[in-house]
Amino acid sequence: MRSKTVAVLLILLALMLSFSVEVTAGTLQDVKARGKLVAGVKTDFPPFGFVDEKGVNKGFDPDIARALAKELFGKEDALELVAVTSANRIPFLTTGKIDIILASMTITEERKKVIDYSIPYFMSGHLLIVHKDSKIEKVQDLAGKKVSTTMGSTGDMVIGKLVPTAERIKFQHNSESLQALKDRRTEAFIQDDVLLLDLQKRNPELKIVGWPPFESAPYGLGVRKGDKEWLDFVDATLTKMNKTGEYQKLWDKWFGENKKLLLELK
Amino acid sequence: MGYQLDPYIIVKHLPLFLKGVFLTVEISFFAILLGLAIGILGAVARTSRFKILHIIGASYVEVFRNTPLLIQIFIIFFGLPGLGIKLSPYISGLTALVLYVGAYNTEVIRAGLEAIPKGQVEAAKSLGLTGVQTFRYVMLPQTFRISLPALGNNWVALVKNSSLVSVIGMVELTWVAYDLNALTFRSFELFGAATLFYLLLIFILTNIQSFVEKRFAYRT
Repeated sequence: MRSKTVAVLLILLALMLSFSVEVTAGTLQDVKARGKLVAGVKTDFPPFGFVDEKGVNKGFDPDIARALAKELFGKEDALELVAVTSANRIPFLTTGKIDIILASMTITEERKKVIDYSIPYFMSGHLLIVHKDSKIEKVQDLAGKKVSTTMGSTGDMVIGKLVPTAERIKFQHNSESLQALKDRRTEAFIQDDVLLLDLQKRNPELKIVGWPPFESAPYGLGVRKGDKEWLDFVDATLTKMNKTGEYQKLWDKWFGENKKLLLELK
Repeated sequence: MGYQLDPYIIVKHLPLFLKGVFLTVEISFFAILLGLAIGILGAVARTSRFKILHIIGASYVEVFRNTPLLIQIFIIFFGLPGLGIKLSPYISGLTALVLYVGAYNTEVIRAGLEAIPKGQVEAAKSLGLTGVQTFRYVMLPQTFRISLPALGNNWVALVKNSSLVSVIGMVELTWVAYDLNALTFRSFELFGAATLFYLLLIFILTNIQSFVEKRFAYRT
């Protein structure tokens, strides 16, 4: 009886290994037919994507999603926002669960192999957040020390690249990585400048070091590979928002107070 | 453009996968041993003459059986530091697994203890064996035989549950799959490989269990 089960499993395995999934490249059509846009946003990355006390998605990314929905359907609420993390946003996109990634996603060559990016919409660099009494001042000071990182984030890759002797403790969510730092399980937490600035405000026992923001790279919106019509639409909407000044308004709304500290998008 | 399967990605990262498998085996092994000890202690408490031990045993089982393991892991790792108790990821994960499986083991071993005919204990007493000796030489071996199949179930569940310690940053098998997925986005190959590794580990475990069962079976 046992060998029969094994045989069935092996046949299933062989079948699975010989298939590949075709992704439909007509997102623009699909979205218009569906009547609403499904966008993946962060819920743990203020001010890009977070949730307020009433459970409403807020942030720069949701606002851009709303602008896209308005461009598509004339109304901002023809929109469904799905919570994603750095680790699962690309799988969510490639498996068709969302139409677009609006999740503070840095443009990297690795990711470009799997998805297509819109034109850049934000410039960000990395910083470190540490305890006020910490002696760490720059990223090289982390050699041989424990650092919290979040899975799938560029911060994690940057530490691996710049300070290979640092011990990375990786968590699924930014909140957990921060908690590990606060409990002094790690000596620092590395993430994008804009997130850390927000976290430091709400955690005054911590301070930000590692100035100026290093290993900078722009953020882009993510769509499925080969989906040219959809990508062109997204890019056109972003360009339009830039021309009408709507982009600058949103930028000032969410990042205005940190204007001097953040990097310029060229 | 479609999703092309790339099994080579597993070969490329095999050392990391094996590191994860090793940690899964290691933490499961210690959790099984320590969980067995807890289970025996808990079962003794629940069948003891002293009411206070009954209450302690019953509360322990209720709390750790009726709450999700994931929450227990979070409380031990992220919650306890607030009370001044800071355990390493390894100890936190191990403690959570031991307490969780220990609760299930307690019930299984208790059932095993209660299944032994009272006549056995009386006979032992009449032969002059002390309480401890009776337990060690008469009750425990029989309990073990009776409980082994159910304990085996708990061990299988434990190996699967060990995947949850990935959330506190322990580099075990599930964590490796998650991490490589964040890097390469090859979900099917990576989680498929992890599934196969778990299948293999549990296959070995259940074979060991069958072997032990046959070895200790009553010879008729």
